[in-house]
Amino acid sequence: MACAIAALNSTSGCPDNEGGLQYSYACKLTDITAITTSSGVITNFTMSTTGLWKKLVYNLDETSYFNQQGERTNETGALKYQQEALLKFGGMSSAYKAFADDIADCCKLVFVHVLTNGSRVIQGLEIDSAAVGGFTGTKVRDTLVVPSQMGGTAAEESRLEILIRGKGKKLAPFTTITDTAIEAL
Amino acid sequence: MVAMYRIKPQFTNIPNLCTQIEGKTIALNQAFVNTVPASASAPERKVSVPVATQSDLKALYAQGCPCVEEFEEKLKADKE
Repeated sequence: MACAIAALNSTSGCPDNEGGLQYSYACKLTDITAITTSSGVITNFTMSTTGLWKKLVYNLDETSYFNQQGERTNETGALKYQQEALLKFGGMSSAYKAFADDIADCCKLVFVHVLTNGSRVIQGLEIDSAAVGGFTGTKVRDTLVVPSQMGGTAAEESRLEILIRGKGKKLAPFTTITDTAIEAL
Repeated sequence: MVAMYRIKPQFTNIPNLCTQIEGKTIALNQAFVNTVPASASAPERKVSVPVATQSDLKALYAQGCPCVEEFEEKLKADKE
């Protein structure tokens, strides 16, 4: 992208600045065949078959997040973004173990995070019009998960924490795809 | 000559290739039936995915779907 500076003002129009995530959808990177974009926003997915997006509904207790920390090597080197999300599922069960063991075996994952402010941002995928299908996975480091099962003490909460990490060259793209569309896809 | 739309050759080997157009799920290479496994809230069910029409492909092409390409086909009158 060519060097350019656009005017930006966060003090007008009262933008929704609520942080956090509501819920997410996940699939394997290889499940996606192509993306359609409009003005840098993903408007549609073409999938290798239906039913591959899985909805992840985790605890709404102000612990879930999706952050993208920018970093430059030696201040002026290549720019990268460390993408990190945390999803917390309260409880501890055999079903949680099976979910964690299975998703941990996937080495390239894609997540659509529905933010508290309603925006939808995609972790694990970068728009690349020169690539087959118009996208790649995160270019610097693959996006994968680190599950942790916390039993805790009787004074604490048992929980499954899914930490999702990857590293991209660009900030994660947004999408306009709706819940209805993604669940029918 | 008339403009027609088709799936690009590099995507024709994916039998259940599918996408969304105007709120419906369509198959791009061939119609298929997908079995949605049972969940805690719903029993197993089968979902039929119809194959895209020329109208669907035209709309996808207009949206910029990288799987669809335009080509020109001779009308019968042109051939004669």
